[in-house]
Amino acid sequence: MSKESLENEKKASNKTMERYLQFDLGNEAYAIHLLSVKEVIPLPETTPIPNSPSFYIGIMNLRGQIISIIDLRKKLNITPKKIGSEEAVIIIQIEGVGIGVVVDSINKVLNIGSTSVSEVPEVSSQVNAKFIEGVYHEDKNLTILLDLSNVLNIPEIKKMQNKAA
Amino acid sequence: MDDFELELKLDFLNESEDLLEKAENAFLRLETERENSDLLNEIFRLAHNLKGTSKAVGFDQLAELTHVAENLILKLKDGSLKTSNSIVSTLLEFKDKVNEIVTGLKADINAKFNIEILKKKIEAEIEVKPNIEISSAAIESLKESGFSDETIQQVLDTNRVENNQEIESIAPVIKLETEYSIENDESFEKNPSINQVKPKANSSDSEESIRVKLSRIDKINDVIGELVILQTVIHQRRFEFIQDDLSNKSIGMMGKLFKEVQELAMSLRLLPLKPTFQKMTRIVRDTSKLLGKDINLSLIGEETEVDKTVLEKIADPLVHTVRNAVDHGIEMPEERLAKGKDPKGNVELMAYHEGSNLVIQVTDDGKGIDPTVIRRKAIEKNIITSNSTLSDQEIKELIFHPGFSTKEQVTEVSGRGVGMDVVKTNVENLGGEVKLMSKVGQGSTLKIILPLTLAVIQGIVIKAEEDKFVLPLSQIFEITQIKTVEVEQFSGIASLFRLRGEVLPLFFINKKIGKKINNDLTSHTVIIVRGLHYAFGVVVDDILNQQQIVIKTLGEDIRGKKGIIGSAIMSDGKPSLILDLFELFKDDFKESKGHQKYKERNLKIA
Repeated sequence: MSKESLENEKKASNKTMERYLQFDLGNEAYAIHLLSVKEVIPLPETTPIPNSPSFYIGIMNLRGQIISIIDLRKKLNITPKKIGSEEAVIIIQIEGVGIGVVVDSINKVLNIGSTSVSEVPEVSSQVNAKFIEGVYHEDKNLTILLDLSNVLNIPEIKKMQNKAA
Repeated sequence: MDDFELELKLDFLNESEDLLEKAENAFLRLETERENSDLLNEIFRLAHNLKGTSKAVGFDQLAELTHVAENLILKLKDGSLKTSNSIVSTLLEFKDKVNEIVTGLKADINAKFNIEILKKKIEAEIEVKPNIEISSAAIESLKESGFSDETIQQVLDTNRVENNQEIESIAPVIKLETEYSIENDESFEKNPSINQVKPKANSSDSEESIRVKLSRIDKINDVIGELVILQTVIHQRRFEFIQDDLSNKSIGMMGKLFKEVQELAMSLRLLPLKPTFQKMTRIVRDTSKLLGKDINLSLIGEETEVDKTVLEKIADPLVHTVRNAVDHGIEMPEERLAKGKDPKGNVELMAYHEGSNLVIQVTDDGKGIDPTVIRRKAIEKNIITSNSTLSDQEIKELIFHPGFSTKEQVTEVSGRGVGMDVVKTNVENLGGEVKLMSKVGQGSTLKIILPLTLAVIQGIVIKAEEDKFVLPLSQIFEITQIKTVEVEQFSGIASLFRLRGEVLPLFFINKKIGKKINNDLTSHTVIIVRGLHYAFGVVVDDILNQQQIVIKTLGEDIRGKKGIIGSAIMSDGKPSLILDLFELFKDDFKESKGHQKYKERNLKIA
């Protein structure tokens, strides 16, 4: 085996280590990188912000730090689960920006190998394609891997932050 | 360039700021303590250190320049060159250049600078005088071989003159220097510790310290703030739910400790004013030299501590103020003599705490502010009309008006018409105020009053529907009740109301923040806001209380949203928004004529 292919093998095996947090939005299963998840908390008390978009729930006090809470279902135009909803907030941290997102329920941590992810979503989802990193197959179930950085428009936030500073 | 190298370079640039501050301090001390060998050693160490590290991280230009300066310092240190005013000035110039390079490199890590001129200047300092400065040992040996003091002095003097160095000043200087060094040599033998007394006392205050990221300190403060809230909850319930004496006692003790930790954590953000004050020494030195004035600067309360953010923002206004005192305040020596004053002017910089405020006071014993001169100027510049009736104090305060500069001649130092108004706006932006006291012929005092920390403000908590909002007390001029029938509606324009004869626009805060307006009331609670440019009333549902508010920054995604300063965690643990009334209603004022009129009128009052 050549050196190159050895390295490729290594890369592939590293990729099999990738872990995702799976949760429900409406009746579909979604997942995000576990590395961007800081913690999961029950729905907190929030204070609304005047004149903000409808998906923006408000701000909360997370042990002394003020964090924005966003309804991921409204943001992605998904009808919330009506029965069996166990709403929770995932506190994420991407590129230094901390935000809480509300989901219908937290399922489990997935260990995903790169081979089981199809890059082009071949399934019709309710979600805009640029928000999707890929689709993961497990038996007959599909999980949509979300690109939260795009969903929450984090590059834009960073840009505005730099302007403000 | 790899990350590691870049990191090294950035670290160096950050650390060099400390080094430069120390260097400036030492150079200034050198001016008065020319023979202090410990001081020279310290300076040499600083330069050597700077040269070594800048070379190591690859800033070649900086290393090159520092190397030349080091040569000069080495000559001073081994006594082959004597400190002169021009050397001190060159060294200060060197420090400025290094500062410029460091700032430049911070912006662009590969920047190049012009160092040749300064290099030549430093080299010239080194070369000019090698044959003038005769060591005291040599003089001693000359004496021993029978030459009289006068002859030696003569030889020395002629040497000086030939070398064309500061002819007028040198004769007395060299006399002093030689006398001093001879004396010094003797005393040194008898009591070698004499020279070391001062530096020792000095080095003891340089406690060891480490650099910590401000964000970490803020995080500590956040967490401790939360701990205190949790502790209060347990504390309030302890007798109801906990029957155990020891537990109760421990909870009580915990409360005390938490308070102590909280105070400690808050104090981590505080820094002494000393470095900022030291910078003023330099400014007074340079400014007074340029103007030919003789000024004695006293610094009082250098150890006073203040929040880092306040410290950073106060530096510029302070420079303006001190320059103004030197330039406009203190008279020329002849003028002072004629007035029967000491020809040497005095400028005093004093800092102290007053309640939860920091006061910085700049006092000079110069000519003071003459209201008649200001009045004349203000009329000339169309700031006031010739028939306006203002008190003397009001006239004096016109110096804070943008575009006001009383000096007949615009000097290089100050008086470009910007200055005092910048001081006032900067201080007011920090939530502080400026007070001016001045007596013709006796001098002026400018009192800058600042909040100790920007993180805590006095706030008014209001209710809108069921939500609480915080308004900064500093923006609120008065709170009043007006009857609903007194409000005049002009559909499409605004609501107006009369307050003691004055007509003001009336806004409803609920409308701005997306809440319902309660129309059933017979009277409104109205907050009156008065700014430099406009005044208005704001109707609120209810005012709950006034309290100290710790400002928390919002999440990055909504930071900088219009009209929102930040948020505060209320006693129930829920966050509330802190609103900026000016920002919130700014757009409602756009180019209206009433606004223009108010501006003019306000000016005539203030």
